[in-house]
Amino acid sequence: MPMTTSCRATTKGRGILNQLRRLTLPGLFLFLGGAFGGHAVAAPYTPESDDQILQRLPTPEALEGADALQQRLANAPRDLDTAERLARLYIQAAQREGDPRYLGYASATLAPWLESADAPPTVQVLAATIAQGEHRFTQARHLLRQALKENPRLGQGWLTLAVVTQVQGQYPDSLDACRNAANLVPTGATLTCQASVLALSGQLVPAYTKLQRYASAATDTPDDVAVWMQTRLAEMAWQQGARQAALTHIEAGRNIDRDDRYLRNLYADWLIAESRPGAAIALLKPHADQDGALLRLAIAGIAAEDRRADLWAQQFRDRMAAAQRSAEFAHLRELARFKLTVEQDPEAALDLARDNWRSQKEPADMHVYLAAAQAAGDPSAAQDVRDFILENELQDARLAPFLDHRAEAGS
Amino acid sequence: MIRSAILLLLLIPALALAHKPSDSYLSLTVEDGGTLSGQWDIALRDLERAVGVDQNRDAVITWGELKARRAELRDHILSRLTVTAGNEDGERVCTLDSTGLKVDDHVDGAYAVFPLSGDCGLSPLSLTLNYRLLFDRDASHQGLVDVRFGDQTGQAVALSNQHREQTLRRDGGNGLAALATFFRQGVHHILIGYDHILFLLTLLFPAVLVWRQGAWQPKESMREALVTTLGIVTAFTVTHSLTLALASLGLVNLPSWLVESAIAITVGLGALSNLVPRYFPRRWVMALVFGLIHGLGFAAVLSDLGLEGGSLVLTLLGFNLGVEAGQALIVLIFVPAAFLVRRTAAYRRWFVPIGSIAIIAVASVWAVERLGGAW
Repeated sequence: MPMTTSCRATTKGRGILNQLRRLTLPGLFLFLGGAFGGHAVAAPYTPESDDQILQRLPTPEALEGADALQQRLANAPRDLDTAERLARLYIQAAQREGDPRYLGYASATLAPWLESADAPPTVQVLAATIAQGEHRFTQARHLLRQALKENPRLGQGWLTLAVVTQVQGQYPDSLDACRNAANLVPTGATLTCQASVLALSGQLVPAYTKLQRYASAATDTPDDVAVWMQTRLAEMAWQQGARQAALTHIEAGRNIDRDDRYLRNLYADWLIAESRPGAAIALLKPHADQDGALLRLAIAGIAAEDRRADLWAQQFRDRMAAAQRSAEFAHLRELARFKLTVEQDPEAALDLARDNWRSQKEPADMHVYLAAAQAAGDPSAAQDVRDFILENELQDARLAPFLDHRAEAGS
Repeated sequence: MIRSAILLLLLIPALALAHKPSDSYLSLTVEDGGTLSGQWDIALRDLERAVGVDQNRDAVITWGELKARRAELRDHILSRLTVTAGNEDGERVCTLDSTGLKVDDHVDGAYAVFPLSGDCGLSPLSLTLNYRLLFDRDASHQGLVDVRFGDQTGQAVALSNQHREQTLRRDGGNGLAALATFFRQGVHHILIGYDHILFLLTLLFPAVLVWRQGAWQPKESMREALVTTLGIVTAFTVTHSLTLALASLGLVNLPSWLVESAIAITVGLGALSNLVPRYFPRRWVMALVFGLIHGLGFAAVLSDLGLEGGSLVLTLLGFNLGVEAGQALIVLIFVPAAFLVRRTAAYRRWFVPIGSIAIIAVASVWAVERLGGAW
């Protein structure tokens, strides 16, 4: 069944007034898009000349060698090793390019094994990695549990399990998975895994200090692990309110890999938080084809009073509308942030943030939920986040303003 | 860059990839006689993956390259879609063909647009789609399908690798869903459209009273009150439904500032009639005449909601029924309450006149504002 956010929001709305309000607000656009299944596109046309370029095809560096593997697989369709290597290339490309199509290619590559009852554990782990990338967290856990039961020596599987459980806020499970990954993956990866979980469950400062010490001493950390480590360190520093330290880690990570999308977006968020929206725009402008960048461009555009702000917002809206026609729409966090910050529609943002909270429990999910509740004039709406934060003794400087608010209201 | 053997990059939790995976857009209309028409938009990137379009391998697809591959592409995509029509006599696979080719730009790039035509050879009550495009090359691909039976509202369905086949029925769930959607819109609109509510209530203020010897006196029986109410509500309903239909069909078209101002004036006049009822002896006539104007106001809302694509009859019916339901709700709450307090001086001497004066004031402000909006 196709699903649109507006449909979800209206059925789950809290009362007729809220629903009415949402209908009259820009949400109407999405509502109609859903109701009529309209394409938000111009009319079909016939290009004027044969030389007219219609589409540039991406040629990701990560896919180097993919053609040869594809060819080999065509000749020997049951060659598991080749299939796995090809699937890994596709997963890497998906990550590098931010393009979910490659995850679909990876799944299709593994399909002959996945469709059989006794898929090898290594294939199940790759399938779980794909599911995780497509935000199908429950399915990912299921696949991982099966695979790791059969072969507990799959480091990739334990790390992925740690990540999925962490996203879902199950920190003890996540920590266990990190421990199980030890000795199967580079030390830096194990430590980053553990520190990430500890930082969310009451041990922010010691976790940061320990990982920071390791990062500055270790010399044999593979580059991709180092980037992950610096990303986590940046987030932990920011969690403590140490923005300058956060910047140091962001820069350290970007010095290793300038093209890392996550770090780039994090850097843009940092610039926006520092009231330097112009710098954020300069950083993201070349990447406006990516949705995460577009969201931040729209936000920074408003802050900078940039005349392109409306354009970026409209592009983001169009892409969301297109994505929502799909059966599985998994980007509630981004849409909630957009509704809150760009469209200034806290009620709609709150509904989205609440839906999102059911599947994702990272600090960014908490932030948008708390901020939307406060902007909607109903701080108690996000009580489940507060309970969660208290229960896990989670510290985060970015969330503190919203939590203080409650203390004042309570006293 | 030195990579570890693990896929660390995906380990950044919940890092959003682009929001839109691969989708194709297939719209099909089947006529009563079984003729099929439609269009299929498929991303050039997906066609490249499925069949190959970039002949010279320069990572650029030109219009020339696309045109040159039209026949192969058509054969491929048609081999990946089966449409079966059914009715009480049985089932038949529809023929499908595509002539011509265009291009369209979607949010994630250029799409080839294949016009579709075909024939099912029977008058279909149901259509079964079996969709297999690209699943062997991209397991996350989806076909977003929109099927129409004649002029009915489209039925949308997403077909995926796990859910490749779907049967859609004429008068299937979606027609009803559209009806329900517009019914809700109708209810919403009457409940938030305070000028309509105010007009109706103004006329109903004295429904439980009778004007005698220069003053409002309570009516004796509930029956009398109900007859008056029913008369007013029926008259209002008949005429606003009429103009709503006329305006929605495009037969009547007045500028909105005029309609909105006129609505404000009707509210004011309704309130005035409570103060000097002698001059307005037949209240249902007022409801009848002014209902014409309110219907135009409803039509403006309906056209804002967007009519294109939907079946007009269903839409109008749903919206109108919604308006009536909302209206009935208001009447059912107000009239019994008014009936209970009709003997009190507070209601007759204070509420009706002061309420009416207040409404006149509000309506005057609206009228001025709305007229002012015209220039």
